Amino acid sequence: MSLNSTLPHQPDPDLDAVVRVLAGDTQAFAEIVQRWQGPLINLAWRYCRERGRAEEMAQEAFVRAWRGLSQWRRESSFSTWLFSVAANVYRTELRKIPTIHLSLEDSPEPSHPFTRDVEMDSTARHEAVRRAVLALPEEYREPIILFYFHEMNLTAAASTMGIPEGTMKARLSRGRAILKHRFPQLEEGGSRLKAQIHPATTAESVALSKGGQL
Amino acid sequence: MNHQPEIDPNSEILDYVLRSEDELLPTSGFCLSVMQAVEEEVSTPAPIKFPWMWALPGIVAMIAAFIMVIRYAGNSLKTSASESSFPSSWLGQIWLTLQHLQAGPVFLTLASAYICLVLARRIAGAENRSLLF
Repeated sequence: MSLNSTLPHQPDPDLDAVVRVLAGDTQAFAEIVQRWQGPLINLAWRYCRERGRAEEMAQEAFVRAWRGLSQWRRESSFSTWLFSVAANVYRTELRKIPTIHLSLEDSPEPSHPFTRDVEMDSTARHEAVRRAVLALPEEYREPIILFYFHEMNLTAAASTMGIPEGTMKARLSRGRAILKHRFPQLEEGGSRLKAQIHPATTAESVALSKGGQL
Repeated sequence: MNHQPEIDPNSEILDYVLRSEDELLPTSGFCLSVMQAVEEEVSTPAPIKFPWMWALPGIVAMIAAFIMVIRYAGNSLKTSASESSFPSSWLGQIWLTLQHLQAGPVFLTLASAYICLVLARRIAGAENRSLLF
């Protein structure tokens, strides 16, 4: 999913649509909705993890973007502006009606580290980690959501939130530390998962770490 | 639609878990529903901004009236405590009668209502103001 995919020498379809909308062609906005509905719904999903609500929030974000279309200064890309509008909407919506989620302490975690893999399959464990993001304090939650939504692009995540990259990095680091503390099996199980996905690479790294020859 | 990115052996498992989210597909009517909301937005007239310039005199008048009521109440208490300040004069008699009828608050209420009505008509842009002025 390339979110900032506008190439400099190609005509910008978003800019074209925005110009037409501002000239009074309401239907041109449908092109923008078609193009960005997926990313906006998926971003909303990461904020609330409720499908129906994600669509409602995405719809509200589009309506808000429609209202403020003339405020897009065109200094940044349309997607950056749109994600920023959406993030503001989602943040406000979730403050009004918070999602029902477990606190970090209440999120599911087996009692004994050796039985963790038995008790929870990896899918459920990963889902528990994703849901635990919602239980983080707000200042750490949003940087994590946006950082991974933007495929670990710190600059894009920081500009969506409208904060400096340094601040973003610090909050991200703290949020990740809280999650790792809460789910220590992420560290323990990491090598096993890596082995499942990249057996050769992991074998190489193990051999190298032991000083062995390949 | 699953979105499973390639895991970088050097990246952490947490990164892998948080990156590898399932991707939601929009429901078929989503775009239509957004466009309906936008069309509604277009057809709805822009909300009238609160006319602070017109409302300010009214607000000031209300505050003044409130202060007057407080002062009036305070004076009334004082007067009743030390009997009337002008017991024998005809002005004193009127004052006592008005006080007895609680005319002050009634008058202030009527005045406030009148001011509100005038302001409301001005804000709404009523053409025929002859009834009021």
